[in-house]
Amino acid sequence: MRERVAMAYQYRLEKVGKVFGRRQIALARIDFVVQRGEKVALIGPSGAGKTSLFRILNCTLRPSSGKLWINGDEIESLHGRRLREVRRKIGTIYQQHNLVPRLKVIHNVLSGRLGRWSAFRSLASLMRPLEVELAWSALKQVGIEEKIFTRTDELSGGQQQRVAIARVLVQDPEVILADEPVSSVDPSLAASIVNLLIDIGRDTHKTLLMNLHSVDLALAYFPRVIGIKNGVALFDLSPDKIDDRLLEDLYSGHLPPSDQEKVAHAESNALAYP
Amino acid sequence: MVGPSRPKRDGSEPDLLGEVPQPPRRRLRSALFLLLLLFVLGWALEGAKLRPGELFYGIPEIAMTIGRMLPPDFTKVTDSKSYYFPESLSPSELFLPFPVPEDKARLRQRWWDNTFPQTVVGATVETIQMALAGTFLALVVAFPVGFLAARNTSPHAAIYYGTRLVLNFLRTIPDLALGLVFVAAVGLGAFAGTIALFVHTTTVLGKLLSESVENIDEGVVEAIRATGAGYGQILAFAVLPQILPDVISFTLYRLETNIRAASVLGLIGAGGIGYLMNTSFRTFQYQEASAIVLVLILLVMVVDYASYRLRQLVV
Ligand SMILES: Nc1ncnc2c1ncn2[C@@H]1O[C@H](COP(=O)(O)OP(=O)(O)OP(=O)(O)O)[C@@H](O)[C@H]1O
Ligand SMILES: [Mg+2]
Repeated sequence: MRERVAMAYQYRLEKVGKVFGRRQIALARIDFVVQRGEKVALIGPSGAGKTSLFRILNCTLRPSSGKLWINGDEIESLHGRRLREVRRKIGTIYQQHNLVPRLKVIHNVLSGRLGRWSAFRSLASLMRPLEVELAWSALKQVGIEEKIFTRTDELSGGQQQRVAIARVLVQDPEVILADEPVSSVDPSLAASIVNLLIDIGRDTHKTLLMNLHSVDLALAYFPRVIGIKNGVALFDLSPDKIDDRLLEDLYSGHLPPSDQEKVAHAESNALAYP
Repeated sequence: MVGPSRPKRDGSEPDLLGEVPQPPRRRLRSALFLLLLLFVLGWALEGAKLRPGELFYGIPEIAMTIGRMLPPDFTKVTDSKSYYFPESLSPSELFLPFPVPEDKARLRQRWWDNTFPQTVVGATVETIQMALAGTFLALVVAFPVGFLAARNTSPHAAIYYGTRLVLNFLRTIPDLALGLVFVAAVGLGAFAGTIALFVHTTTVLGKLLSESVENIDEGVVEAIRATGAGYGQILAFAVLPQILPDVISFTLYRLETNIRAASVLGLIGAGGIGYLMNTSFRTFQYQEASAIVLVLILLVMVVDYASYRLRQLVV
């Protein structure tokens, strides 16, 4: 049965865990609620589980345990067309860009429309791009509109990252999940891209979650910052409450935790789903 | 990752020296493997009945045979008398695939089926047609099969294992054996040879394509899926662009292979230039045979070069 929760929640997570294979624990136990239109930054050391969390939040990865509601829908209850409908409303900017290198920039940008296009329209667009103006204006927002007909693998890393952002812009989702959207651009461009995403989020009332390796950007631009380490949320605070000691805890002992610790933790929330 | 038997670490003092694993040493095993390899090699050489002595004494014989093949006799290729054209058909009616009155159509059919393939040029053309048709039909079938036989795009595990099983089984049958089967089934001629090429090429292309599909960047697939795209859209936007270079180069490569295969299929009467070559050798027309061999070499070179240029163009 689908459980309904208050509609103002964009996301509600209850003891969400993810185990890869038998014992590679990416997420141990995550609980939080994100309101609609909220802007949240996630920070934490490498391997903390941030990307895995985003893959769960965009419904391409099933959690191994716990429960997740998106907009009131329990994610386990979604399949087929309804699942695709939910995915369409969530746009993801991937850490690795995940663009098709051999396609022109325009096709990569327009792939953000697939959730709205019929199969026939999609094929037609591969032959001769549709909605060119839309792609062009999205590329203009990230400042690379002149690359619209270039092959994507001919772009620099930072330009590809901006193509990935443009893809999400044409998708025009309710939620934007940005996984390290500024990892391959210079610092001043990084700030302006974070700014751009926040502005877009505010103007169109989008929920924005962003993974950041730059603590400074997270603290400067976001009213709420979640610190993730070893698959758990270490803190979930507004930036003024985050002091150096917390940050030191978050990034200290940059060593993988012992496996017994993690396994013990995971077993405490027995796997609720296959 | 650290194994469960390791002492628990407090995170402040990493135990650096204890962490470095030694590369495994397996001298004894390597030596045993080498010995076994030598043994198998010796056994194979023995069984292959290699007699260097006989080869040595056979050299004059080989030289004589080659001498008899020289100079190549191209009269069968060039002599216009060996090419018979039906008088009641104009060249355009004969060569262009447009509809003609029924009696003429029958005449044309007979010429293409029986008369023209008896000539060297005709047999060469037939070889090319067999290879092209067999490869193209194989691609049409192998393309969807490749997706069904790939772990990451197959709609169901049973379909995945089923198609793999069938592909692997059929692929073990050499195309010459398939040719024999189809000659028995549909009679002598290019049709039998073309089906043999088609079946064999389908299994090979299906296998190659499924591997290509399995090697794609899954991240792109996930990104496209995350936009809300359906199965067909994911194939079109994420999978197809990634495998297209492979599809083209595998197909061209199989086309080259099939030109050679189509030439050999003639030996068992399944159409193509091999049939003429066989006849010439059997009737001791060595000079004529060498001319046909040269035509064949030229054909293979032209096709190899053409497919090389095509590949450069598209990949
Ligand atoms: N597909 C997978 N299979 C197995 N293990 C995985 C897989 N994906 C992630 N992991 C593991 O899960 C843990 C968390 O990975 P994740 O990518 O979520 O970290 P992250 O916080 O995004 O790190 P980074 O900041 O470096 O991007 C890591 O230990 C990683 O090795
Ligand atoms: Mg990551």
